[in-house]
Amino acid sequence: MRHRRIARLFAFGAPALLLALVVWPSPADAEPGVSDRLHKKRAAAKIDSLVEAALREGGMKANGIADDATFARRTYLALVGRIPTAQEARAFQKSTSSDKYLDLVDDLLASKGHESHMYNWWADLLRARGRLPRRISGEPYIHWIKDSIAKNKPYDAMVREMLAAKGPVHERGNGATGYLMRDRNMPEDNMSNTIRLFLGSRVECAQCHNHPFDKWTQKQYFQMVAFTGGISYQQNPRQNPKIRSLGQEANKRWGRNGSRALRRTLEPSFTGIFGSGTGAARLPSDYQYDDAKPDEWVTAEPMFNPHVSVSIRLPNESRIRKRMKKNPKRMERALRRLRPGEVDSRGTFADWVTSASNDRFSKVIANRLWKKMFGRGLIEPVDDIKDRTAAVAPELMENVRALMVELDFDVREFQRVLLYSRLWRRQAVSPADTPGSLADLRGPVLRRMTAEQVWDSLLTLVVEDLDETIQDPLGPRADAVYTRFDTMAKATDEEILEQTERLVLRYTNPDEYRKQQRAERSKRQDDMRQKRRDNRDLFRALKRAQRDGNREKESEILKQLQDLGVVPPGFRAGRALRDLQRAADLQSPSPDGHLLRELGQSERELIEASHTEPTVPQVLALLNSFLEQRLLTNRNAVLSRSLAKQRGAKNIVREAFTAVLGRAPTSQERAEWTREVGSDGAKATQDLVWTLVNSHEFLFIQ
Amino acid sequence: MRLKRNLNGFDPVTRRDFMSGAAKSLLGLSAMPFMAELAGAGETGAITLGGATARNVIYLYMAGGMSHLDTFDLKPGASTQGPIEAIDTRADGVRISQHFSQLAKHMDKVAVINSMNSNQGAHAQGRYFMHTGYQLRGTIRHPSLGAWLERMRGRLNGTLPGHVVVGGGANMATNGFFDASLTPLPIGDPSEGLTNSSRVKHVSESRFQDRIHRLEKMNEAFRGKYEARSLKDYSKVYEEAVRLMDSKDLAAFDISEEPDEVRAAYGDDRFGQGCLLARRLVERGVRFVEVVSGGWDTHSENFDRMGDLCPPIDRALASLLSDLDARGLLDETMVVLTTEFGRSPDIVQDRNLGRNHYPQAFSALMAGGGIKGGRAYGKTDGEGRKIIENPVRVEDFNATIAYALGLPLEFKLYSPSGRPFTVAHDGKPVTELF
Repeated sequence: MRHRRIARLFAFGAPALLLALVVWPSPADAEPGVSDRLHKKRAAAKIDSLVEAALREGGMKANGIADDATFARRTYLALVGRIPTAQEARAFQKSTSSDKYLDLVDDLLASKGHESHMYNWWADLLRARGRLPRRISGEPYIHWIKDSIAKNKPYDAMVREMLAAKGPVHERGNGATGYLMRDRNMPEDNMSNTIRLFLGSRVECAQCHNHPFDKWTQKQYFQMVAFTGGISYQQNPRQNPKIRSLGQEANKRWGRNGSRALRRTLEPSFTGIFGSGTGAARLPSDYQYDDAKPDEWVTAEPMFNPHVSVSIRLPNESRIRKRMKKNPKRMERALRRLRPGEVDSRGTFADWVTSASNDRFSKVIANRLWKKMFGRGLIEPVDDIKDRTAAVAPELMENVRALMVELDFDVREFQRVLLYSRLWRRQAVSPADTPGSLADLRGPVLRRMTAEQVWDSLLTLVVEDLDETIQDPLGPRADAVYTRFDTMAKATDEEILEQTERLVLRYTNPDEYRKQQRAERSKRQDDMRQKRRDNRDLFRALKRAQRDGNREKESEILKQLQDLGVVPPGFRAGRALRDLQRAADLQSPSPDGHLLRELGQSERELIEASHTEPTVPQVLALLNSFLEQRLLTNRNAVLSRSLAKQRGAKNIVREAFTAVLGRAPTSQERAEWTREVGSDGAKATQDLVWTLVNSHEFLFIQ
Repeated sequence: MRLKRNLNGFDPVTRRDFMSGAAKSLLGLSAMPFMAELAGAGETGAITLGGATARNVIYLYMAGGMSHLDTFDLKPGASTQGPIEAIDTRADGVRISQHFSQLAKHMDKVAVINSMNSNQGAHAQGRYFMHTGYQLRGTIRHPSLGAWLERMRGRLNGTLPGHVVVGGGANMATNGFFDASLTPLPIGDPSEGLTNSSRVKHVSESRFQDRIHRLEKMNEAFRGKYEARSLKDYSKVYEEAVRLMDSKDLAAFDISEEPDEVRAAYGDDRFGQGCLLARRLVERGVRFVEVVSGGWDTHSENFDRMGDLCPPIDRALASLLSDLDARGLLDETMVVLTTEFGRSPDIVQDRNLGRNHYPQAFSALMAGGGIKGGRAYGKTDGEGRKIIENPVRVEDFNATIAYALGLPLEFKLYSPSGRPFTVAHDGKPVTELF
């Protein structure tokens, strides 16, 4: 309903705005007050003056102002991650309000679509995967990211939560542990990732030797790693008497396979992030420099300001050395087992990273968001900043960095300021050959949509009220993980052993185990089918409601079906509808071969591994598959329906251009296509839509 | 002078390519016209540098870092070895892991390199380095070997892509700063082949052509508005996709044409089927095919996981070697197996017996394409820690492949910003392997 609301808002002008607010109350922070807007406008004006001064100095001029159609399309894509619908595009262009540019930004920032879009951006940075190795789910992590966006959690708070997270990864409320869980058993790599992501430096080289192109030494690297010293990824079974006694019992009943099966049963429950940090790390055994010895303990020490210090509690080795003097092998083992005491160095680290006086922290996020909006960072690349790195316009960089701090790391407000600027309204520029050129500041940089923007835009042409279908942050997948965790936590010893017994078969007779699993699955499916047959009438009513677009009725029936246990939570009838959800609500990332992946969605194994390059399979999918099946030959697609309603070839052509490209056809385009559509209606209309969607103009954001 | 010397071994077409390619790279122009020309020439335009022993490469990549001690560089009795045992092979003195019993019968065709050495200990960096011979930097993307081969030698089959990657992910094969038309064609699931490569039924050929024509007209207008490389790249890939749809050789991607027993022999998994697809593609003139196997990052449960990871490789590689041999393709096709780094000789006790990253020493395989098989090259010490004989750097490894393909190692091509690069960086080929 949201975009309709916006459409109406523009159609009726200012009085309707008030009315709209009364009838559909927005979230509290949705509409900034007048003085707030003034404040943001001033901040935006400051940015503009700095941009223009920098350009002047370089002998360049900013681009002219773009037309309304371009502005609307660009703004929808930047804030809600999809093209505007034909109504939305038209409503904006028709509005005569001088505030319409700012109003659009405000409205979109407050919408659900914005949350959905921001998730994709975060997921690429934070490597959000639904499935992690060894049967650990990433869904709680995804839930936490979405929830943080929905609550507009300040960026510093978000990062702090991730770095200091603790607890079982599947437990409700522990989603932030997902960040450290992504690099399970690899605290060193995790530190490199943390520094790259939040502080904009590449220090991974120093993991094995002094950095060849930067000043970092290997010792400094390990001093950073020391902040996360002592982290463990499983609750120590020794500290959990229940696991211990059950383990003995399982071993007694089924031998070694019993303990294995028990571990498999319980492992997901006691996997997580444990330990507050010892502030100490050992140098590698092959450490080769003179400033320390191999295997020596080093104390956590930040790589740059502001300074913090940690005092560590090293274990007392001398007692062991004395006691086991005669058995060096045993001594070695015992020494290796010693752990320094916990001193909450992870908390100290999190505070240090996110401190407002840590300029690097604010600079990196300000620059990343600048790049997200305008296409190129003020510093490029965004995550390889060295002492000598200079921003393309240093004063501007410092200004937006300070703005980020002044806004208390409010990512949404920061974006608001950027989009209030005149720069945002300018005509797009072609990207300069080398990133980080002054020429890129003349206007927003032309770029291909991200994979998720393409997907969500295609869906805008297919699914009615697409943004109404956006799921709550707690999707059915995360919910199922929490429920399983709770069930295991409440399970009695006997229940756990029962589950274990079933798993023992997996080791003693894998074929039989698989056979049983298959049988159970098909029985579950049969039961479900029977249940659905029993409730046939409800399903028919559901289909009717969907066909009529009666959302209220639809959700009412869905609720009924859910309560009856006939459908799982989050169920949507029809395979097509289940597949056609906004990118953020699909499996994260989409599986290999999915259009999203062909379009360059990140596999989410490496930071920012998404791409916007053309590939042959991608183009083949666009030429021959998705469009044909989902759009051109789908009579229920929004676009097909709205085109069917148009009278006359001229209107069809105009509607198609507005829906796909957000603009009216040029006179030449109109003449040419009107002739075609006029002589060969349905076929030519399909050809028209096919051509528009495959065009560069569709894929690229001006 | 050097330029002249390097070019002497080439036929006129190639020489012109180098000249125009270098010039065009400098000017930021495309090398497409030449590609089209070569496509017309087909097999007859085949070009070989004197001394080149291989025409194609099948490049098998073990992503995650394959443990050398548990695969091809075993140290029976050493404290670093763990429970995996060494078995004899058809090659005297070459012993490999118990998990490679089928491959053992073909080791007479294979040269094991036990002295690989990298200086990159993280995955992204290591993969990138292995594929390109250059270190991952924030400022430039280097092309990988397949792209170099295609850039320097063109295609044997003008309608099929020049190089293909089966499976994989980020920081693997890439066109780097080369033209987008040199992007490797990625195949997700080899059993599905190249999806969406034919027109939908209700769109006739003339209608499709008509659509393409109109599309190009629209795009031309848009390109006139913006001078952007990304736009040109898109146009090129559209052209390429349309050309591919018309190719008579599209069937190469359909491995269901293979008899069931052949498919079974390669193994009913992505890697095995990928190797089979690689053979079909090489047969039809695709010169560089990479097949990726994942999951080698055995920080924990290293030894258990070897039992899962190795058998598919064993099956597929043994079948591939004997299949290529039987078809007379092994002489001209180099099969390479490599990874980003080895794994630490020290076994990590508190992670259920895992091994960490270890770039200092690791193993790789080469077979076919002129490689003299049946032996091990290079040596590590008794614990698999240090290279004690004939170290092979990543650049040298790549140079060896390039050498076999007859690519001029010192020939420079230029990035759009005008920086010079060579196919294997500063690598020296290990000529003793031939």
